Amino acid sequence: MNELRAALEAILFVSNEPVTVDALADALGADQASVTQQLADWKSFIDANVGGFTLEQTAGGWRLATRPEHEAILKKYFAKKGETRLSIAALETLAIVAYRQPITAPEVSDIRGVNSTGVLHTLLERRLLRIAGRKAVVGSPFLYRTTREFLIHFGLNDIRDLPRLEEFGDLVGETISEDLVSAVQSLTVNPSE
Amino acid sequence: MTDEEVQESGYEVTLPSFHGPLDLLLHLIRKNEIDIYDIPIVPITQQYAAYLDAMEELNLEIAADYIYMAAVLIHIKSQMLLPRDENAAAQEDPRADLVNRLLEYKRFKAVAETFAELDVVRMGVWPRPAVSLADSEAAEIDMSEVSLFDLIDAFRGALTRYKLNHPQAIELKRMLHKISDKMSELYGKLKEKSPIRLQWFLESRDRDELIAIFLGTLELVRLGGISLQQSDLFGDILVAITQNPLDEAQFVVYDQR
Repeated sequence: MNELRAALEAILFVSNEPVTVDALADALGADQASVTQQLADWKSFIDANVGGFTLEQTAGGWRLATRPEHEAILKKYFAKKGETRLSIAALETLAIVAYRQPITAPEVSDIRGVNSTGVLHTLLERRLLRIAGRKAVVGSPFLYRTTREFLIHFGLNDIRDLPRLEEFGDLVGETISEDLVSAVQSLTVNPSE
Repeated sequence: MTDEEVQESGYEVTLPSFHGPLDLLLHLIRKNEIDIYDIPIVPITQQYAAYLDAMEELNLEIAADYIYMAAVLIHIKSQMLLPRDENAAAQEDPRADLVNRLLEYKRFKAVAETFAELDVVRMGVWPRPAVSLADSEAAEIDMSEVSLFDLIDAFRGALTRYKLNHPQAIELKRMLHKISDKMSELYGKLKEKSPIRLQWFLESRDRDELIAIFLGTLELVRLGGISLQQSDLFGDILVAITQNPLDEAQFVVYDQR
């Protein structure tokens, strides 16, 4: 096994936050291309040989994490209740902010047709949104943006990875195709690009 | 708003929960298999109103957002009834605004549904737990992501640590005013002149002294040495000496309490 790969594994083993290729290259004194190559190799190795965890690319970095299928076991062993699922109101609000950021509370409420101040506050507390200044209009309302936690939570590498909004045009009513969900997910798991 | 499953088993029997007036309108459009670009405004307005009535009957609180939308629908309806000027070719359809809002909301609703599925999957993904690496450098913190809540947390943490390291000193002040002194003073005054106005006796005294006087007065009343009278609500309180003489030497006991 080469030393670069071993050192890289060591760093990611200890890190709990996604580590960027930049930071890895810097720490290891290697060029980004070889770090990226090693990450890709390691990921395919893990996915082929290791069952309990995976190497994932999220929020612009890389981290080790468990696979969704072990959720129940982990919850049971660590006696963890788990976070509550996001409500429909929260998901709608996140969707709007994700595509229209930076955006104010009245603008979100207008699109949803429902007052959304409370939901926005909850999302701020969950750190999925943050305040990014004020809009230069009367009353200077706060502008909201998604956070790095938002990207990590939904397994996105970059906010620009979201499918174009137009692609969601006529999907309401039918169940969302599995393709779309896996498309969103695959954006983050293909390191060879 | 609840996450109840939308169930449509029968007409007007079950009331699905909607996530706002736009959601309700989309439901009506889908149910009636209407072309969203050509909404028959009269029947839709009627059905919308029927749902609001049903909600009212079920004692559900109807949010102002729903009522606002009812007003919008009625406004559109009235505009549609007005005779159109055939010559004004580029006249805008009164429904255009609403249609655009519905289409936009519909898209975000679809995004939200995708997010919901991702939410479930990703909830099962656990990262390595946070370890506090001693002496790790602050340079690793992404400054752009510091939210107000992070800042509050940081301050709260610092304050808690400070309090732990610097327990507040308990300051023991010398008792400036003895209750017994105040009892003697008041009782002495009353022996010269009775009754007196309590207000007059309290004039220009500081907080600690007032507390001592208050406690002393209560003690004197309890001992039966003085009586308090008030002729009317919020009126002056008069203090009078009673027929029951007190031994002033025993006042000292009350300082021990």
